[in-house]
Amino acid sequence: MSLVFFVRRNRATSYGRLTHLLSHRRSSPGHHDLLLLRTYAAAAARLHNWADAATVQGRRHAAIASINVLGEFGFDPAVSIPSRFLLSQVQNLGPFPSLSRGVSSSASAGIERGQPIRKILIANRGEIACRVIRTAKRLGVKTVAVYSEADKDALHVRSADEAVCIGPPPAQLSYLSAQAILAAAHRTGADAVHPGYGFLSENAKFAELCVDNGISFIGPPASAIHWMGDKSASKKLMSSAGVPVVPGYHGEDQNAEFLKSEASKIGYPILIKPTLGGGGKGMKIVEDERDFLECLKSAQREALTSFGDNRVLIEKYIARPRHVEVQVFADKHGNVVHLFERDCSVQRRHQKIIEEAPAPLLLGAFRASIGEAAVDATKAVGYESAGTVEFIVDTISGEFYFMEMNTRLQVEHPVTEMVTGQDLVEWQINVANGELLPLTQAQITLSGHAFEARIYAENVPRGFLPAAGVLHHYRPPSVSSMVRIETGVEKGDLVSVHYDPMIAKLVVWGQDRTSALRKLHNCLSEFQVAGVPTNIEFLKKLSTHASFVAGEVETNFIEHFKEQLLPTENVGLFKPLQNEVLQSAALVAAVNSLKQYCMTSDKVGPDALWLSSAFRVNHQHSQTMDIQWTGEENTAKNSLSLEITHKKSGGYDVKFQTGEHFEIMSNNDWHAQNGANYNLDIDGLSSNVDFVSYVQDSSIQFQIWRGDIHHQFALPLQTFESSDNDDQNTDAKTHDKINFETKAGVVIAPMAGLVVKVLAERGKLVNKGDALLVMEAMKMEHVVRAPITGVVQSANVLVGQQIKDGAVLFNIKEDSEDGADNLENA
Amino acid sequence: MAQLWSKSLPKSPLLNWFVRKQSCCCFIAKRISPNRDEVSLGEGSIASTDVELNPLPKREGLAPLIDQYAAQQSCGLPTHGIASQACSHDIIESSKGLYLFKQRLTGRNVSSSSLRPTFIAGHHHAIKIENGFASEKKHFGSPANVERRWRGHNMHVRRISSVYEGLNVLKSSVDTKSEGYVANHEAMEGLVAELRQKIQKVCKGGSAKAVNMLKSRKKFLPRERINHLLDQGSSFLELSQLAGEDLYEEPTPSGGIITGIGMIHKRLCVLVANDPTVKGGTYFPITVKKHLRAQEIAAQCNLPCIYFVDSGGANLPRQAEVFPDKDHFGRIFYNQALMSESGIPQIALVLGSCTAGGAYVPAMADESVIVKENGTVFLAGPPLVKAATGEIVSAEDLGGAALHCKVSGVTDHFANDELHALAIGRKIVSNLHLAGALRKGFKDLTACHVEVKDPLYSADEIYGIIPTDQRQSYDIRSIIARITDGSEFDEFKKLYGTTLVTGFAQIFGQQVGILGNNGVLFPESALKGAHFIELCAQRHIPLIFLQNITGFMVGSRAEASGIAKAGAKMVMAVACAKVPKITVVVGGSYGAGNYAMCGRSYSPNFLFFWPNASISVMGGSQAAGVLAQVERTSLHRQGILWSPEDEEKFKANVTRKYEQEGSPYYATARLWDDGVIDPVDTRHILGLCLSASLQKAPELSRYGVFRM
Repeated sequence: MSLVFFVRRNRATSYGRLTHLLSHRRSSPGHHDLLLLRTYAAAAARLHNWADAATVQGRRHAAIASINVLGEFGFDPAVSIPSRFLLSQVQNLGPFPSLSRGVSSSASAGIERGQPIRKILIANRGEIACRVIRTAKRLGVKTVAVYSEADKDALHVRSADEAVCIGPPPAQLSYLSAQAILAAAHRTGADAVHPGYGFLSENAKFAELCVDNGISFIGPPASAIHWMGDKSASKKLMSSAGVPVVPGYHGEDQNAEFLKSEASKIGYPILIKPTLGGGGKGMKIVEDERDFLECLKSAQREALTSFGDNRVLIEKYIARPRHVEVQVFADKHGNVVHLFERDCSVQRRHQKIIEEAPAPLLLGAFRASIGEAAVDATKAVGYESAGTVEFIVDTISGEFYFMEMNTRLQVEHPVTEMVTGQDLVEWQINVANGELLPLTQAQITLSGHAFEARIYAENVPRGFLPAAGVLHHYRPPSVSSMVRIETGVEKGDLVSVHYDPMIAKLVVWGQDRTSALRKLHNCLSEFQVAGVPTNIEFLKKLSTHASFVAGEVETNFIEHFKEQLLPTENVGLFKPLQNEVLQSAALVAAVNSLKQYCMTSDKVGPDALWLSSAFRVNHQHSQTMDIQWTGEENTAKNSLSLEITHKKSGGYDVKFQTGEHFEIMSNNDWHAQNGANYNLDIDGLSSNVDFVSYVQDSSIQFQIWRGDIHHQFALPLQTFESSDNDDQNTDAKTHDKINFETKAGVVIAPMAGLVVKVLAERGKLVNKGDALLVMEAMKMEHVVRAPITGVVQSANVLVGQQIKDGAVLFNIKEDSEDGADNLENA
Repeated sequence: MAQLWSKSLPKSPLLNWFVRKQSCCCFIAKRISPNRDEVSLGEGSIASTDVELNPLPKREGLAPLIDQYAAQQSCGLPTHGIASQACSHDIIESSKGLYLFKQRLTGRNVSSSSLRPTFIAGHHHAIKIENGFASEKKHFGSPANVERRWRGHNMHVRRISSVYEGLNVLKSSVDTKSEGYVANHEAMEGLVAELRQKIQKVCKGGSAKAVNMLKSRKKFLPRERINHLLDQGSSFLELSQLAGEDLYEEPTPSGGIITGIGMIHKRLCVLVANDPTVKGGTYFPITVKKHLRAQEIAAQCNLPCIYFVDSGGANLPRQAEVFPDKDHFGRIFYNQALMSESGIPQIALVLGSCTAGGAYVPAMADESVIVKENGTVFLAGPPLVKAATGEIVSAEDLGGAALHCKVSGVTDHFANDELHALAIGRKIVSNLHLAGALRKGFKDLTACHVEVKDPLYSADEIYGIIPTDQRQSYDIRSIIARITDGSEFDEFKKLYGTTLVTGFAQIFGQQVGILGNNGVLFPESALKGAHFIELCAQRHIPLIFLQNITGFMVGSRAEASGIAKAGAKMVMAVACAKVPKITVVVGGSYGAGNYAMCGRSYSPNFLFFWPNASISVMGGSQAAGVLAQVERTSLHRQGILWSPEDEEKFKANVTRKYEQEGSPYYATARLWDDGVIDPVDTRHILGLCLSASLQKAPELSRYGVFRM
């Protein structure tokens, strides 16, 4: 029975060994017990795959040899084999495929390459690039990262074996540049390209280009991408394949009565949409047939004014839609499986932020039918690799309709991985290698519940506007078999304006939805990001919202519960929040007072003695601080004035101007503190506090996490900008002075004083050095003398006059140098 | 413990092992069989080695036990591979069985803090493990010296051996439940409360009106200014907080000037801040004295000076007490000149007016900052200018920031407001770059960067130890036990001249020699004191004097035994010892005892009073007795009969006067000290003072002629 063991355990059995095994069967025909039969069947299947792969890879002789072997041993490679039943029971081996189809499809692909993928170029960035690299590394496949100049030091660049710069920061010139990426692939000898999601992942031309360049594209064939990229064409295709699509009329006939009859056919409520429209403008919901004509008219009118075209289309209106999508997988041999559905209903700005698998409140039968529909849709388009079929589910009627198919690995694929225990990237690579799907539909089981929350750098109160900036602090919760963090950034990285502001994906798994949700909330509380505004607080609220907890999700969820989920503008310090904020502020003040000391390297020398305790002789050191509470997600700015007193015992007293008073102690030695984590005791209640500070927007930003609470504070920095006005004034003064002094013949007062005697009158000829004026200053008389020989032009002084330092006393015109003057004048 | 001590050292495998594992703090090793040594670590793990592996020669009579070893090796030194090297190459065996390990440590972790030498000492064998660096000379003198000292078995053993461990820890026999203790504690609490109350009052500055005016001009109080300038959350050793108390008719809180030592960019500086809320920051005589004292400390300790100038100059009504004499106003600028000359930076921050003499503070400074609008510098203000020359000019035009930064060059940095000025001040300090100057200091010699042990006994117990009646005596060691690291005190000449307690200790890891009084000074006590002071001066160990002294012994026997001569020796030693000296008056300070115990006249670097202290040439009642006798004799000569009532009255008057003048507040108001301190803070303040004193390079002490 060692043979059995051999085959069952060793999936990487070589061709030679398999043929050897089958020849063993021929040599001992007597042994036809069940187990052995299974073994042979498995071996045959394996060999069959081998033949398949050999065909795909162009090793025709190998394929033919394998088929011959099979035929020789009584297996019919063209039709199904007698032991199919047994085969399906052999673990880890896919259904027996029809070989002819495998051969033909791969022949049509025309790939003439003899090796499985050895080096993958990931034509993407951020977390998905890191994600692909991780699996590739595990499989022993080399990786090549590409990066724009903005991502020079990004995590995916550091993670990959090789990295190639493909252009300047704008995606158009780098990550969307097919030429640059293909050049990078050639340069590094990569034999496959993984497009990730976004960028070129659903670009049929790029997929084609890859294949033309002899590089395998890890994803669906270009034709599938092309078909599914065209929304209306894809719907038509699906409709013809028997996949339900949203009923409606999209035709050219705009006759009102005709449209009305179409509407009746669809069934009310219906939606009237402008054909050229978008963004909800001019859309009318018609609940009842009686209102149809009126609504149609107004819709047409609005369509005309808004889009210059009054054509409309009619669709079934789904009042409370849910977004449910099915993960499908197809190999190159026509096998298609689905890996159950995901619910991505909760969206903002038409982007998903929280996804889960399986979809909540779904019945098993519904799950099976939606899965089947997805498989049908996938088959209809001749799909390969990973894909997602999106459906819209009418929560009222329970109907589901095909919306579109995403021909890529989705952002939210990890939730499916968590509940099925599969690595979809590994599947993708295997499929690209021409292998069969690793599991049959029956082998794919659903276990537990998983959530994914997308952590975005975005400004929630400002309509989820994307944000950018430096991640001054980044500490995700710790990873376990139940918690996955998919990220492409590290502390200190820049969330660039050029790309998607997603920081990380938090994926959690639990036995059931409740425990998964609890885990999600807990992990969100532990998720520490500072430097950019994030949606973490929002996600925390979302994950605890009663309706969400109940699983009552729908696409309008956020819009529907806006008041409860979104922070209202300029929330003041209302009571329940006040104490929390003040406590946090007190802790911030205390930790900040510590910080200087904690940063010093000498913890035990005499310097430490000075720096440690804010010692004051016979009194206690206290200082006032104005801390700004920047509120949740930067909405409100409340200034908190407090006085912090360093207690002799080593703790702190924090007193707010408003009268609140807190006593803070450290539970462990301040001196032993390292980094940003403190165990603090506030009024007798001790807790672990994480604290980060950095300088941004000309103030010191403090972020504090304690338990569930996260608060942000700022301490404005002194800027000491010089006031320009003042400088200019004084400049003018000094310039005046300098100008006077530079003019020859101008006599200025050498100091301030009183004019005692004036010796020169206007028009008088004076010689250089003649006394002009006597003034008194500092109890002494000073004589002002003529600097040059000339005629006194003007005398600006009188006896008894108080003169200022630098004042002009006389103007003397040079007499002897008339000629020179004239020359100058000429 | 004594039993654990062996006549000689253990077999070397243990030592070998020890060297390898020196990062561990403490272990006990013993011979478990003739061939095996066992070493147990503090936490219970056991390692053993075969004696056969012993690379050192076997010796007969090696005892089975070795001492407990507290290898205070700091910061996880990289030891891999070093041990074997040390064993095979760098062991020197001296003729008397001395092994010298020279351990060469390399690697980035090694900092000056790893230079701490450690020893294992025995009667016949000793091993020294030294993290050898060029600096080894500093610790032990030349290598030859080290060798000589070792051969002479004159080993300086530091917190190592089992015998040693615990030997020097002072015991406490204080009964905290006793009536006396409770009463004492209460009394001292009252005194400290009074002190804190006084401090609280002076911390508010001048009149509320003046403070409000200051705030309205966007100025800070001087202590706030200092807080902003210092490293955030660091200590400030404020000096003579109660100077000028009840000295003049008008209140002069803190003498109108705040002085002290603080850290800016980890550099200690002396800070001198005028208090503009006290008579416009003008200089009273006590203000001048306090300013000069701060400068004296700066010069003595080699600390940069920072002046927060906001002063109207000399207090004109008291010009005679402020202007003309040697230690008057002009001395401030003289000091600035001399300190600048000797490389002690002088920095002025002009935060208010600097009129007349005050103008020279920024002008004499190495670098100066001036605040727009608030800061003005001129020799004469607008009123005087008008009187002198008739010129009418605004203060800003006459000597404002713009003028002085752009035209006159009197100041160097233009600040938009006070915080800006303080920020520039910090920058200036950060650019001082006194790298060379500071390295010369004691600092490197004494800073052992070890983990500082707290005293074993609560400092609060001092309250209960000090008797309310000053005539009662108490053991000064009970105070020392609450001041020194780990309450450890290595007493010197314990059995000789017992009224003076002398010995070595550490305060926050800084080596000191402590002298404390346990009664009146006899000739032997004085000789012992002189001996000990010489010892410390020789070794550059700072001295701490804990004064509780009624004086030298009087009487025929004392005179005959040459008490004056013995006292003179101690006074000579105190005066000439060129090490940092810090005096704390913990009780009485009377007569020549004050001199011998480094009173103010002996220029200690710092001198503090406890609130229970008193100081006078002799006790009040003694003085009353002496004076009454003189008076009676004089009256008797005149034939007047002195009634006992009158005599009592006379005596009471004298006693009251002595009591009043002997009060620490009377003393501190006149700046006979550097402040009255809470006994509980003594250890901390001594630590700060020591580290401030150690900024200066050690000097060689020479002495005058000792009368033998």
